[in-house]
Amino acid sequence: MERKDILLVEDDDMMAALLGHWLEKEGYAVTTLKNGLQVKEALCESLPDLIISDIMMPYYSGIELVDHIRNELKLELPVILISAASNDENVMNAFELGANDFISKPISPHELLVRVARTLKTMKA
Amino acid sequence: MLWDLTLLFSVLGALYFLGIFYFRNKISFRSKRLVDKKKELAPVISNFLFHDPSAPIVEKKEYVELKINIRNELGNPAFRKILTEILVDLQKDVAGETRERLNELYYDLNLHLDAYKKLNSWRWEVVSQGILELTQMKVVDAYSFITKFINDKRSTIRKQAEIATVSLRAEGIAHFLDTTRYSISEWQQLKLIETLRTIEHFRPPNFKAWLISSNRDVVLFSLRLIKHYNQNDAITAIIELLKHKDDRIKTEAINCIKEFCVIKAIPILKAIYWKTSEIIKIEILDAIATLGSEDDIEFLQKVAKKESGFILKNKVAMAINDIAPDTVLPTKDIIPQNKLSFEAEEQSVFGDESALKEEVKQIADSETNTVEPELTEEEVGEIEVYEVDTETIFTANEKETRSVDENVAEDTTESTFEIGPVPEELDESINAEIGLLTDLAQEEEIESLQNKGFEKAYSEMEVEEKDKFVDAMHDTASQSDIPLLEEIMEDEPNSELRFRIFKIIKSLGRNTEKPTIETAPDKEIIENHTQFEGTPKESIFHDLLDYASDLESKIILLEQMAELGDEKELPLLFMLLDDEDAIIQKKAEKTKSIILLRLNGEGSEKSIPIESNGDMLKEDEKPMQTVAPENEIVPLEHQKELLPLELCFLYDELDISPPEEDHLRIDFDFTEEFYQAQQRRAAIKE
Repeated sequence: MERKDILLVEDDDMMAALLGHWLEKEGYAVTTLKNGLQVKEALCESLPDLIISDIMMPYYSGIELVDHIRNELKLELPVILISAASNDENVMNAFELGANDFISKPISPHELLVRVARTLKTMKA
Repeated sequence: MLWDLTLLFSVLGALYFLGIFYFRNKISFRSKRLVDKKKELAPVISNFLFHDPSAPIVEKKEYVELKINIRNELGNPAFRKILTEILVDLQKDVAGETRERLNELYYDLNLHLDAYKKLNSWRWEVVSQGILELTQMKVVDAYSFITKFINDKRSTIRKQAEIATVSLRAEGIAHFLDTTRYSISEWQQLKLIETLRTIEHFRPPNFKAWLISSNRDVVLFSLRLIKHYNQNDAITAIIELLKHKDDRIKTEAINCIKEFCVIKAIPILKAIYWKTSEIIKIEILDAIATLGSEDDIEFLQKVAKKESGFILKNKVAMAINDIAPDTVLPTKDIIPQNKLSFEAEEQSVFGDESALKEEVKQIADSETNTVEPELTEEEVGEIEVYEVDTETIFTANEKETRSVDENVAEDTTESTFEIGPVPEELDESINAEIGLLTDLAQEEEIESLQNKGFEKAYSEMEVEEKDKFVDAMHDTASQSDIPLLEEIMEDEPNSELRFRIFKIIKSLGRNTEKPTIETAPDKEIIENHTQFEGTPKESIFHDLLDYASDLESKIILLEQMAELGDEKELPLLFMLLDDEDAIIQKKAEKTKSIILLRLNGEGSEKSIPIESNGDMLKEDEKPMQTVAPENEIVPLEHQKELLPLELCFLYDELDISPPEEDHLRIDFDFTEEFYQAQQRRAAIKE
C-alpha cells in the first residue's frame, strides 16, 4: 500500500512532535514545517497528499495558506486546519476559503487519524 | 551644576537602557532556551508518552536510557521548570488517552512536588499557580492540601482552590458548599458549574441540603444547581425560600418554580407580591403568566388597578393574555368599533357582503358559545348547521352557495351535520345584529317613535293646516296609519277635526285588526258576499261614476258609496279595484271594506252560519260557534271594556259618565250633523 505524504505545519515543536508521532505510527510519511512561508516554497517543489496546518502561526496564518493554495496556486490539495480558538468566525473563514476539515484543540489522536483518513478517502474518490 | 545634572541623567538613561537590554536579552535567552529544550525534549516526551511495553528490546533499551537521562536532569530546578511548562502546555492541546499519559508522566517525574512547594509560598500568584498546575495535571493527592485554601483571605487563591476542590474529586462540591464562608461571585458560579459539567460520571449530590445554609450565596448557588440538575424534590424548601429577604434568592426560587411548574406555589407568589420589590414583582407576574390559570386573572386585574408603573401594568397585561389569549387588546389610537361597523355596512350596501357575512357568522358562533359553553359533538354539528342557515338571511344568490354547501355536506360521508331551522334565540340575535325586525313588538315600537314625531309636528300646525292634513289623510291613509290617527285624535282639541279623524279611522277599519266572528272581513267572507251579488251595473253609483269626469268627483261618489252603499255596490267596487287610477283603487278598497264591515254587522244579526275560518257551512251542519240572536246581542269580552268612540265623544261633550250597565242595549249611531250641531251650540255659548 502506498504511503501518503502529509505536510504538517506547526510552530510548536512539542505539538508538532506529538502530531508527527501519531501520524507516523499510523503509517503516513510526515514532513514538518514551522510556518506558511516554508510551505509556499515547499509546494513549488513537490505536492503532498494532505496538508495539516495550525491556524495561528507566525508570518503566515493557516487561513492565508489555504487562500494561497486555492486562489493563487489553484490546487485542489486537501487541507485540514487545527486551532485552539474554535470560534465560528475562524471555522467559517476556513471553510469559505476551501479548507476540507477543521480540528479544534485539545486534539485527540483518534479524532485526528479518523479525520485524516476520511479526507484522503474523499479526495481519492 | 548643570553639567552635574546632565551627567546624572545621562547615567540614569544609560542604566535604564542597559536594564531594558539586560532583561530583554534574559527573556529572549530564556525563551530560546525553552524552545531548544522543547526541541530536545519533544522526542523524549513522545517516547515516554507512546512507549509500548511490548516493543522490541532495542526500543526498550532506548526508553530506559532516556529515563535515566531525564532522572539525572531532574536534579536541575531549571530543567524541572521547563519540563513542567512543556507538559502543562501540551496538556492543553491534547485530549483523551494522551492527556492521561501526560498526567501520569507529570506525576511519575515528581513534578507535582514542585507545585506543593509553591503552595507554601507567601506570594499569592505562586500559590495560585501551584493550585492551577495541580488541578490541570489532575493530581488527586493534592486535594487535601488545596481544600485548606477554600476560605483563604486572598480571593484569587480562594477561587482557584474552589475550582480545584470541585474538579479533583466528585465529593469536592459538597465539601466546598459545606465549608465556604465567603461569597461566591456570579462568574465563579458559572465556572464551577462548567467544571462540574466536565467531570466524567459525575453524580450530583442532593443540593436541597444546602438550602438551609447560613451563607446566602451557598443557598443561591444551590438553587441554581437544583435547577441545573432538575432536582425537583426540593419544591417545599424552594417555596419556603419565596419568603426570603434576599431578592436574588427569591428570584432564583421563582425561576425554579417556573422550571418545575410548581402550581401550588401560586398562592404564595400572590401573597408575597405586595411586599416585594419591582424586580421580584415582575418575576412573580412572569411565573403567574407561565403557571397561572383563569382563576388568577382576578388577582392580575387587581394588580393592574393598583400598580401605577408601566412595566408592571404591561407585565400584567401580558400575563392575562398568556393565560387567556386576546383578553387585553390595544386601545390607544384604535378607530372606534361603531365607525368600523358603519364602514362595513357601507361596504355591504355597495356589494361587499363577505365581511358582513363573516361578522354575522362570528356573532352566530359567539351567540351559540354563550348559550352553550360546553358542547357535545352533536351540538357542535348543530352549530355548523346554524352557520349554513344564517347565510340564507342575506340574498337569494346565497341560496346557491348554500345548496352547494349542502351537497358538499351530503357528499362527505363522515359528516353528521343536519340541516335544520335556526333556533328562535339565535335567529332573533342575528336579525337584531343585521338590522332585520322580526318581532312585532319591535315594529310597533319603531312605528310609535315615528308617530311621536308626526304628533309633535301636527300639534304645532295651525287649524287650517290641520284641516288640510286631515283631508290628505282621508284620501291617502292606510291601515298602518291608524295608530298615528288615533293618537292625533286623542290630543286634538278641535272636536270637528277629532270627528273627521275618527271617521277616517273608522273607514280604515281599525276593528279588523282584532277580528271577531262578527266583524272580521276575511277574504273568504268578501268572496261569499260577492257570490250573492249580480253585476256592477246594478249599483246606482255605476252610472254616476261613468258620468263623473274628474277624479275628485269620483272620490266624492265613492265616499258617498261608503256611507250609503250596500252589497249591491260590491261588484262595482271589485271592478274599481282594477281601475287604472291608483287613488280610485285605494278609495274603492276602503269603501269596500267599510261596506263589508257594515254588512258583516248586519250579517251577524241575521245568524249567518260562519265558521271561524270564514267558510260557509252547509245547511245540515251545526255551526261551530253560536251566534247571539237579534234581541240578545252580547258584546264580546273586550267590547264590554271598550265603549264605542262615538259614545265616548258624546260623554265628553256632555260631560257625563256612562251607566254601569246598559240595560237597553240599543246601538246608537250618531251622524255628522249631530256633532256639527253640538259645535254650533258650543260656539254660541262662547
